[in-house]
Amino acid sequence: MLHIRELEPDSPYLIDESKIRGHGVRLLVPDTEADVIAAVRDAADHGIPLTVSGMRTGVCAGCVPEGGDVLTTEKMTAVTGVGRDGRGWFLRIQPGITVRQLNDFIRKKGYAQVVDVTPNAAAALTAEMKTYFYPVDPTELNSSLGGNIATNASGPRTFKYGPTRDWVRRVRVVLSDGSTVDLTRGQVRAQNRTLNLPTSAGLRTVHLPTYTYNRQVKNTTGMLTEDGMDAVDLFIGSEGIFGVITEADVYLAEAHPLMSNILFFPGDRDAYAFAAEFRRCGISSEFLEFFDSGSLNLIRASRLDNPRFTEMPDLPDYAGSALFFDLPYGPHLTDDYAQLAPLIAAHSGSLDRSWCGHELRDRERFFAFRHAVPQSIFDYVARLKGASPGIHKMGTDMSVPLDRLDEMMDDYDEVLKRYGLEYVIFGHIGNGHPHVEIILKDLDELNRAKQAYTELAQRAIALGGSPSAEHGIGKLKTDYVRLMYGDAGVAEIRRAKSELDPQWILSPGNMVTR
Amino acid sequence: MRFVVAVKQVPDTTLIRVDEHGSLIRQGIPAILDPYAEHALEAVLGLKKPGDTVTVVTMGPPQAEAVLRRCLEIGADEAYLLADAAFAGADVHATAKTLSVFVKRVVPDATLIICGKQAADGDTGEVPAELAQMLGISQFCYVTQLKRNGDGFLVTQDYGDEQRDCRVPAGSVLSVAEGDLNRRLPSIKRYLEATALPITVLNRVQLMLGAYSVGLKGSRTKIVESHAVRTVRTGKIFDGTDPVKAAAHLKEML
Amino acid sequence: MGCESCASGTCSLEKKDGLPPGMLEQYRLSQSRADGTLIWLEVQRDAAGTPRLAEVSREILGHVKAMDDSRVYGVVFGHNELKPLYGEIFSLGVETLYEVHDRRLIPFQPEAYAESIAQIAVRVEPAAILLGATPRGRELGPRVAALLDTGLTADCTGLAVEGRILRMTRPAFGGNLLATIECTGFPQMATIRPGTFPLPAPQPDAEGTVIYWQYCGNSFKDIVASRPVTVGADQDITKAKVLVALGAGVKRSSIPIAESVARKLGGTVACSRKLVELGWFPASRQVGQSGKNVAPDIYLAFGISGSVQHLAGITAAKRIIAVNRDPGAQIGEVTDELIVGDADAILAELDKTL
Repeated sequence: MLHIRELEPDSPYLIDESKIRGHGVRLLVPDTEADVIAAVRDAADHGIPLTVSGMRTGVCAGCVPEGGDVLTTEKMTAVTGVGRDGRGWFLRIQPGITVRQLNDFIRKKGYAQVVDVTPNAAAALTAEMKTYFYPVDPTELNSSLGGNIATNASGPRTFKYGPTRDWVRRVRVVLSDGSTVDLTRGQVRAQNRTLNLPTSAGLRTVHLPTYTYNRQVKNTTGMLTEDGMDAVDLFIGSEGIFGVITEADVYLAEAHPLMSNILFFPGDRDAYAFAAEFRRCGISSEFLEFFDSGSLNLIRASRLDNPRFTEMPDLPDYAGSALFFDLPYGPHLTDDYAQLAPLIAAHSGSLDRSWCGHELRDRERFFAFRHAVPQSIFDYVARLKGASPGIHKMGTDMSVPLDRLDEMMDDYDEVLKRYGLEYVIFGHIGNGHPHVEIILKDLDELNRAKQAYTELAQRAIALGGSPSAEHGIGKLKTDYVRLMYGDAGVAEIRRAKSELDPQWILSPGNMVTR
Repeated sequence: MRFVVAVKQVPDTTLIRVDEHGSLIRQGIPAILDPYAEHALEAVLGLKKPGDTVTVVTMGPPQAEAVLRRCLEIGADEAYLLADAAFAGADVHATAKTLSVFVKRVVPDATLIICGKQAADGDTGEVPAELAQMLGISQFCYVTQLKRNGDGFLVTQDYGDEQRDCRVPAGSVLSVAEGDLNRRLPSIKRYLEATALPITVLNRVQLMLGAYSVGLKGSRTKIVESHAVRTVRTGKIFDGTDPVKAAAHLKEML
Repeated sequence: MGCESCASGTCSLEKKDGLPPGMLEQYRLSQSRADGTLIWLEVQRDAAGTPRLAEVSREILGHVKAMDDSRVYGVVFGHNELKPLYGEIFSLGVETLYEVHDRRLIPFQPEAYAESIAQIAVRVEPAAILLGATPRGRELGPRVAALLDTGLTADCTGLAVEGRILRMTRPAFGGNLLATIECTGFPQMATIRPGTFPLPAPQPDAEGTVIYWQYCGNSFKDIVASRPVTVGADQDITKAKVLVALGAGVKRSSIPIAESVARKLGGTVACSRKLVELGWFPASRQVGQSGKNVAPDIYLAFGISGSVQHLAGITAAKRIIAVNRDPGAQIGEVTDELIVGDADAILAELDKTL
């Protein structure tokens, strides 16, 4: 049944990781799709805005309401089915399940309790000798799959596996009038840019925007649009403005034993240059993550206070910058290392100056190390201020095509130095999408950072990239949509929104304003 | 000098959970190098000087090779696996006997023989002392610090109500109480070197052990019965989103 | 090379008598004459050297007296400073006390102690030898067992007897499994977990015999320094009636608040292993399998997820109440109540209301 509660002003449902606090009236907690339909119908009848909330790990206030009610998916966390099609195994899930819970479920093989979507699937998958996992790994593994689908989430493994979009087989969505639409990939396609959705209340037409959506780089700016677009892709990455996802099928990838590696280089440029050659050398890696000297120094500083910070050994003195990547742990590993050795040496690194680990618990430590950089920034600002800081950093989220990455790295340095800002660079260098974290110590720096950000966003677009590679738009970055697609593009998105949600009740304020 | 470290492969007990019936869910738990044994190996690697040899040994099934491989990756020089179907079912006595014969026959020149305090899967911490007696040498348990002292060694032992420092004669058995540890990671270079190092497998006959000295037959204790015991309590849940209300409720319960 | 090389085991399947075949039946030597219980009485000494009998030794004596009426032997190491303890030792049921009388054995010497106990055991032929499972007992017991070529069950939480056969119970895997173990021969050995048995009421007029035993070996440790470690009564978590326990889910700034709450409730602050690793607490405050077993009337767990190892340490707590953000935290399986909320905030509010 649908539970309803009051929202207190300090409720955790009014805030996400952007730390922007919204306001709302009621919290609606559905147990089933029928409850979701009832909630949406009620909102439509009374013209009350309804903002969908998953685990609230986003950074753009996508789930933060500006009035109206909040619909949380936290009670819909089950894996309801398992099946297999031409592409492989898939699981049928409810939107509230987190990435971590999903992978735990897969590891524990809890298929006995789920329905066979295709004949005998549960028994067959349980009997499988191979191990599987859900490969898209946003930093926040406690994010909900519904949220991941709505934002087309990415993570380090997107380097090899692509974003969430590539792993969604089917979505089931409740639309703004309470009708439902159930779409499997390949079933319904747009005619050029006109999409006719077969909803439970009849056929509904949506006109897709005519701009060109950049799929060459990691991109979450605005909604996907292309000729003959698959209907499933309308909802992926649409940040909840077109409907509420109540069920989805996601594919599983085969898990292979892996060896995690961190290579240390004397300077940042050595690491960039090696990364470029690494990408070209044909060795298969799941991801390629970068740490600049600034980020390593922050980790060293945090470890002085807490020797157990990151649970990794001390960073050696010669570690200027670092690259983190996986290799398949199998018979070719020694060959891969042999192939990499001269490339590493050519950039002042060495197989001696590295860490490696293949046990699962060691690989998890490597990941924790990678995710420790934001915490080390927090620690640094906390030490400077002598107290827990509020806003302490601004992260950029720009991606550029790989062949323009060197230019973009130069631009980061030039622009940020010009504004007199402190920053560290780390992250998905493999995708042309490093995180540039601007460290903020006061309001003046915050203002300068915003200006720097706009300049860099324009630069990224000019180089053929995206100003919002991963974080999405939400309510905070609507300017980027205009920056990329112009007023005409924004108008077209508004039109599509009005066609599917004429009263603008579903997650209003995300991506475009009315 | 030669340092011998006795290690064990155990399930990762930090991941073990208990099901509704109170039984341990052991399925899908990865097997790892016992953390206490890893501490012991770390202590030795910290002492090692050029020319010293670090030998690791375990008595276990064939898959225990994986933990020996890990010991080599993090810096051990040679590894021995004592494996034989006859070793199965060994209690502390039979385990200590098997290890003592290994020491006498294969590494009689051991300067120090070091074990972890106890094995994480419920072992009792008895092997080091029994091993020492069977070899007729000194023992130092609950070691929290191990240092070189000229040509010899100095240990600090923690007995709970007393801490004491002793000089350690060569050829002693030590058992190391846990220390704080960020587990070591090998470099790629070390990993590649370790893959080339052999693991020597020895069976009962190669060790010249009698059939009644090992395994179940060589044990001096037997498990008569075991059962799960869980006090599952009432397990009420209280919504504590409001800290003031939650604290008041908690206070009432006291 | 010695008995371990025997491949046929014809001399004995059950016991290592080393006798020619047939002799057992002829002389009915398989019937062991072992009888009585020999207990190592651990003596703790304070900074001034004043000895007192360890509590666990008293607990064992009490239980042995209650179990059956076989002879009770004690063995103790030291010198004239032990005389004042005789009265207490006999009042707890020891009938014959073997004192290994040697000043050099006042500090703990496991090799020398083991040699002596083994020799006394050969003389006395006890059916059982018991020690407290303190660090010293756990170091000493196995050495004696190896010397006597017998089995030892460590860290028992239960001891029962049928005739002369001991049935020893010990927990495994975090206290979720209880195993009952028997030795295959005599003497049967066990170390007993402190706190398993109650302290007995002494018999005031009991008498006994002291036999001085001479140690003729020279297995002595080269002790460079010894530092007594005292745990204040208000810091001993194993004695506390109320424990406020903190885990990885609380902030460091909550520690003084927890201490305030503990003071107000007449209890002590304890912690999980993670906080000891972080250096926030000394190891003496750690609850769990690699820490201490506690038995408070109330165990308040803040921000503790409840790993199997931690839960092993609190099975004897009378009531367990946990505060945790995660409604699925494993500690919820053993709590009388789980409060789902912010541990730091609720702890702070609790401090205010008390």
